[in-house]
Amino acid sequence: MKFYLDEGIVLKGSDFGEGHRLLTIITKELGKIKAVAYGAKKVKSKKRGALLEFSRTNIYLRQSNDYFIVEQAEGREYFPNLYGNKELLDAAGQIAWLTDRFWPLGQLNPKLYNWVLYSLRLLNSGVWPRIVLRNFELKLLAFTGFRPITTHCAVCRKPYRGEVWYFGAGEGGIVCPSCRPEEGIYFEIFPEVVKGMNALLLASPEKLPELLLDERVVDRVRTILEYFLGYQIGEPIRLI
Amino acid sequence: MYFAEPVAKLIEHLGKLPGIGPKTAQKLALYLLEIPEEEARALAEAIITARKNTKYCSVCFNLTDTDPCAICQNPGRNHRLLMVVEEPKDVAAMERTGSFNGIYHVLHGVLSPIKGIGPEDLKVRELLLRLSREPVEEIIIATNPTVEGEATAMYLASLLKPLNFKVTRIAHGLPVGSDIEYADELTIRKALEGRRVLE
Repeated sequence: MKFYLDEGIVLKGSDFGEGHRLLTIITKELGKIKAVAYGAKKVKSKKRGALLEFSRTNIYLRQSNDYFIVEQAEGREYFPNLYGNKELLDAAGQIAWLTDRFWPLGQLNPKLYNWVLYSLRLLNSGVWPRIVLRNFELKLLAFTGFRPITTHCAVCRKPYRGEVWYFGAGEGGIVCPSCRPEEGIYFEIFPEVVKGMNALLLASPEKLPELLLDERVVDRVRTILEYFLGYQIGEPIRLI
Repeated sequence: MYFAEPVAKLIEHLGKLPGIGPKTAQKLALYLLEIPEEEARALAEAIITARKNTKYCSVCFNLTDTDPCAICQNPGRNHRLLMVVEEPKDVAAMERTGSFNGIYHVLHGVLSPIKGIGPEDLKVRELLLRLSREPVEEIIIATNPTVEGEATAMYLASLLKPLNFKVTRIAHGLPVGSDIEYADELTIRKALEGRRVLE
């Protein structure tokens, strides 16, 4: 029987049997795992609070045949402001949902782990949720191998010089007018939107709160990412 | 392990019950085969009777054998105070305390965008219709203090506050008999927020 001590963030949980919870947790050293927390729904459970969604927790795990069992949990960082505001809670829920969809079970992804943590911290500290979300979505794509090409044509590699081009999900980024096929869904993309995407893609967690982007640019990035993320997971999605 | 077909079928059906795994299903099936026939028959009849005679109250959507349910019909209860809960089992938990004399509304779930559960899947529309014809003054939102429960509470508050109802949320904090030492930060924070003056 193997025991582990790891740091994790609970993405989601569901009821499991009588008073237990089945959790999806992203961890630093074990990657994304599913774990059962026995008795975690009961009022006197000592691990209940530490295993609340979006909490950063030290988790003591035991590996059984099919899944992990949470032996103990000790909360390290909570984001209390998320629990008093529907907009923030929805934003955190979207981060958790996207992370769950793009991060396969058992795989390590320390960069994405850190970015989930940064994003939750930024939401909790009151940074404009839509900026945090767009930044997270672009980072998520980058850290899972789907980083959109925004510096040159994804087909002919011609450098982008600030003209009106198109964004193609199948091509994985921007395409110049001469490479754009006649059929298919392509989003017209303007220089300020490409600039905004690049700024969001490269922003560090420290710089993100200072990033000034026009609301229309953020909205256009959302529309493009909504289609692009949906294209990658094979179903239409709706972003906040 | 081999079982005769009727026993295997019983195990299969028992195994479909929540919280019952294949081993427990097998244990229960073998137990049911050992008890006197009258007891087994009484159990089967209890299941069928409960299925046949139980329905949802057309007013509050709690489980009941009469429509409206005993709580909704009771003139002795405070019909100006309405508590919104997630499931019928929450009504039972509240009634066990004997400290609430108002009426209930059961949502039959909570909002969960991840699971694709929206307001249209809950008894929210029915709640609004009900509030338009009943003399309710205060609405206590008693959904669970989970992420989904909190989101549902905030959603309901945003719907009900503009309609000039007094909307309150049940308190969060330390459970009776627990140790502060073992409580998590969020719970302690909520307990501090909800502190009150000692009489």
